[in-house]
Amino acid sequence: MDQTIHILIKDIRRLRWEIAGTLLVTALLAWLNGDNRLVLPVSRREQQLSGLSGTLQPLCLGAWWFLIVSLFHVDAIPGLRQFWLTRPYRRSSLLGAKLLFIVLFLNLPTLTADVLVLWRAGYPLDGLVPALLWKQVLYTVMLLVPAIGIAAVTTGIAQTVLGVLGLVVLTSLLALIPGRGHSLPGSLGWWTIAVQLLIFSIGGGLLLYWQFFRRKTAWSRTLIAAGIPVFILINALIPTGVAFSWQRRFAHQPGTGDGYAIKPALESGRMGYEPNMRRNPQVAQIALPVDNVLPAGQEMVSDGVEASLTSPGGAGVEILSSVWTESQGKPWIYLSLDRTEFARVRTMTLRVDVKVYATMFGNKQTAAMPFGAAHRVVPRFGVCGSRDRNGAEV
Amino acid sequence: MTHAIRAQELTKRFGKVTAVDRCTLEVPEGSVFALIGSNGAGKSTLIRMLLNIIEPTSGEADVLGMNCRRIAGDGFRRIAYVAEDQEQLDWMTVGELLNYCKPFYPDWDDALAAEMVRQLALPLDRRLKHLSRGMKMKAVLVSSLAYRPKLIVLDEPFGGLDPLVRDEFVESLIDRAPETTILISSHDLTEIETMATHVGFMEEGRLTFAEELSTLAARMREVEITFTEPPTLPSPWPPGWLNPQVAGVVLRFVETAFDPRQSPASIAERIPGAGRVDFRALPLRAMFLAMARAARRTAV
Repeated sequence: MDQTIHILIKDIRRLRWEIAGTLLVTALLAWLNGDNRLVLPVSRREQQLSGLSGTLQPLCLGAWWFLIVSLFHVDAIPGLRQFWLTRPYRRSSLLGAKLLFIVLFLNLPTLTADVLVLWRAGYPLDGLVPALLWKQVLYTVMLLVPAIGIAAVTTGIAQTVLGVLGLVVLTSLLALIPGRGHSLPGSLGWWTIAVQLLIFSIGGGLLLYWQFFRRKTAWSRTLIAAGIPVFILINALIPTGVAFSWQRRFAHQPGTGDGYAIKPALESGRMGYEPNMRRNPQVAQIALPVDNVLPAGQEMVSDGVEASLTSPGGAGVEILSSVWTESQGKPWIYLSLDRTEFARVRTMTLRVDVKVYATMFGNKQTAAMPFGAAHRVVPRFGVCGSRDRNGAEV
Repeated sequence: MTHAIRAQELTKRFGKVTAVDRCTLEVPEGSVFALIGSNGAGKSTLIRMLLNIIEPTSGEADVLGMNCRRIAGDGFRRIAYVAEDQEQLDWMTVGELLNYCKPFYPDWDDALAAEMVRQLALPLDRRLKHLSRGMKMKAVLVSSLAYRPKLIVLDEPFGGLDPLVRDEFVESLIDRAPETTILISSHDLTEIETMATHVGFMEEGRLTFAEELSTLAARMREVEITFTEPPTLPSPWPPGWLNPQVAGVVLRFVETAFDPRQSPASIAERIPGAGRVDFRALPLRAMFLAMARAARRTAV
């Protein structure tokens, strides 16, 4: 630990101006974010400050990345000529010093900034500590780990910029892959982020181990090059059914038991047809009303619909898309068909098979938050009030 | 005799290029071992493998009893490494550098550091980046010797140093010599000759030979034979006679296995008509040049 602190102090001395710059930008952004007047800016000055806040956000991210890259390059891992390589630096101490630096000058300041913003907006902090800490985990893994990864496999700013440009090119090329835009629906979408989080956590840990304890830069660079496509294409790589089965396994269902499931039943004889002329005249929609009975105190969010139509001869009818939607106070399943295809089968008796992925939300825990004043500013979101603009109770 | 360094078949390949080829080497404890060879001969790569800066492709080596592949962290408490192109903490002053290094070494000797700073006239309050190359190297040397390392490894330490600084540098090393082992790679053969006890010659990744300098000096001789008329060289030319040169009636070459009792007879037998034969001792520089040229000719 002594050696960790010794290296840390050296890094702080070396990067004191970079630290000061980063803290200044972070503090300025926090100050602007905590100013309730800037949520709905009225005066010219407020509008200018609000604009400055928008400009500072990418600048702040740039400052954090620059600080991390500078930190790791003080004792760069790749290369043959570094000072630390032939001195009694314990690898664990070196890594520990770098991580401690990040906690001290990136995590703590941003956590403090969040606390100050919420405090200035009048929020009670008691119940927000876990959320603030979780935000730090996300901030670290999603924003800082990529910078750490790149910094750990490069030796200078020029190499870093080239590396980032290479990743941008790779990302752009990946964007051209068909199906890359597919994403998990609704409440399953967080699985994408969870898997990405996992990729960054495991990948970041592995990379730091390889770099600091084995000095395998070629392996680490390969890991980044291979990890980026997986990270970007993860949307397309996770099938809805798989994500839903994960969700069901992890879902917390108090009092309902493992066997609980909701079973929407299609009503017969009330199928509707909407020619969706306005949006796309080539697409016809079949609207299937759903008789859905939810348990008391629960709400349902559809995660996705898989549907198939079969003609009497057993041939499939192509469905362009199928969605679950709420309309006229009740749920519907909309099947989109090509208009020509619809015209071909409209007089037939079709068999419909539908699989609905859905997540149930219980409303067991309700937190009451007194408004006190006529409205409350939600930082970086908007204004929440109990009265409308005309002063009427809502 | 114990050895500070013992390498067995150490090899490093970069793709298809073999930088060091099955190098077997023993550096006796307490010796000053000079590694000489042309540019690109593999000296720096060999040193870097010994210090685990790069991983050998194959082979093994022990350095101060540690497997070279595992030298890291505390292993460097007994090893000093000074290289011409090594990155330094340039933003620190000399004093800050010494203060920073001190906690890493339990055997750090403040008195010795102060004495060397005084001897080498180092300005403690000047940043390394503002020092001349020579002064910077001296500062690095102090930071590398103040903990009395058991092994000092120097990779081209004299490059760009003026003669005075070079002298001070060598003196500082010689002061340490009795208590430590020194492995030095350098082109500055004049400086090396003043301090080396052993010498190893590398050419194209191979360690051609490694032996005591006194033995080497005893077996290497420049031979000058004067004839009465231009000589005809024997064929085949003996492999131990390097770089034959004929100038008029004079033939010169380097004998690599000189024996005062047998060499004159051997010459008389192989080169009939030889007149006067002179044997001259060679400085290290001349030995190196003879071997390097011979190696280059063989390669061609």
